[in-house]
Amino acid sequence: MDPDLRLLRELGEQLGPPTGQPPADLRHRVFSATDRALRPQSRARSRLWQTALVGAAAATVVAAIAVPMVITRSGDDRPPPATAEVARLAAARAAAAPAAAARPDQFIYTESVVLYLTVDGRPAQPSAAGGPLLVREWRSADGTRDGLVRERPLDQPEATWHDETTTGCRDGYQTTAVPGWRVSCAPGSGGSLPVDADAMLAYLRRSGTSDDQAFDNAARVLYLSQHTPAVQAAVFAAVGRIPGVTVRPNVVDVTGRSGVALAYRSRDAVTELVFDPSTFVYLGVNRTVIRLTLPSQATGPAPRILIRQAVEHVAIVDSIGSVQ
Amino acid sequence: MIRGAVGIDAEAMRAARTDPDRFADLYDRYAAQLYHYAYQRVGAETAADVVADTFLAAFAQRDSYNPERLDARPWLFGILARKLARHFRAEKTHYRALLRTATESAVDGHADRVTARVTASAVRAPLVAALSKLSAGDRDVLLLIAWCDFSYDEVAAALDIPLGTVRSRLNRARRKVRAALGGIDPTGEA
Repeated sequence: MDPDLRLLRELGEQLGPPTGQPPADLRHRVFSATDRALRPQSRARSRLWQTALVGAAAATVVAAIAVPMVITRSGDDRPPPATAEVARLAAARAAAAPAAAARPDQFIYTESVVLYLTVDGRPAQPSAAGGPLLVREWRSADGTRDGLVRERPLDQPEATWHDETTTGCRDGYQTTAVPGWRVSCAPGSGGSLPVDADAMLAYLRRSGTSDDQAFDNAARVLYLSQHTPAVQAAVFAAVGRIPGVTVRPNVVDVTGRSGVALAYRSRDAVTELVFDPSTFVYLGVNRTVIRLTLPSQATGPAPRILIRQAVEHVAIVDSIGSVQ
Repeated sequence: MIRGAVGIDAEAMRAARTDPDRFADLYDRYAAQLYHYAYQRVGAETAADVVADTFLAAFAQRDSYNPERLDARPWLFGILARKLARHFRAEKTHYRALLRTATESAVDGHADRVTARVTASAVRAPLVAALSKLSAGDRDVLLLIAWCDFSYDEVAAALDIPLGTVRSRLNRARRKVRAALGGIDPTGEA
């Protein structure tokens, strides 16, 4: 199959419903309507209608039997108490941190340790070379200026930095990580993000597709809002309400620190937000990408890509190159 | 359901004229396929409405169903396509939401940018953007082929257009999609 059609097919697979079947009530909805359409013809009670009645009666019985299960299932849809508790403690800890406001002409400096690794041994990025990287990133506070990402192997202080410029907004557009693709500029990070749990949950879910994306959005927002504790606290409180989020004890971040994680498994990835187990300070994110849709890998077993990131230092600085 | 078992659809539709209950056979055979496609096009909130409308319209037209149309699938998808056209705003909103998510992951933090390069995000966003810009007619042809495995003949039957129009619309749509992917290295090795 030609690459463009294959990519489209893969996109279609991503956009399909989680289960292969339409909603259970759709059939009843359709045939109730068709039956109503036949009534003016004084149609005798049809086999269809009888079937519907039998079905309804059966559904009543099933519902009666299932009521306790439904209640239980409703409980299961809510995150377990441990999830809510970890989220609450993390939110409280984040909210207590000092806030730092950036002027529009300043930069957000973020220093982190990042590891990209594929299980088949092939690095996800040529410069990664399989080991952890020290990454220094300067992002324009208002998004209008070019930023810079510098990275080098963590254990090679003498190594040359690999630099990448991230272009700021120009004429309403900015470049992306995808070569050759520009998009409309997004508003400046941090400042306009919600600071209460309800609004944050709605923000994380705004793509409207599923909570798969909501949890990944949370990890992204956390990285962008390191300098705004109120936003961080709102994220932690919000993810504590996402069904399917679990607590994982004894996880390890990229720097080797032990922690406890709020974790979520989506169709494409497993993501862990890692916290210090005693202070509940946010340490960073571990993500395992489990489904790729690259055409070069569509016919063979897809590698699992591990991406681990721990933020070490955040500061508001006046210029690129400054670190505090 | 094996699509090769043609004829049973025509028989079900013929029987449904005098025994409306036989229409349920058609529902059971095609509801999942129609819902899957509608869900892909307009998302969860609208898909069920569109599919319900499609079957109600099909039921209302059962007396005029052409018995020479042995396979009802193209006919049903044709009705679905016309129903989807009425929800073009929902489809645009659906694409915008998908695009927003993909866009953010491609421009924001460093780890996200790297992830975007090596995962589906690298191609998903430009594809969605390209789809949203296609004309409705071109998009119908392209997606019936790419997402529903329709043959050219089936697309022509579903959309009630000549075979030559199917080819020209498909070529135009694919040209635009390939242009949207231009410059992107889908292997992630750039």
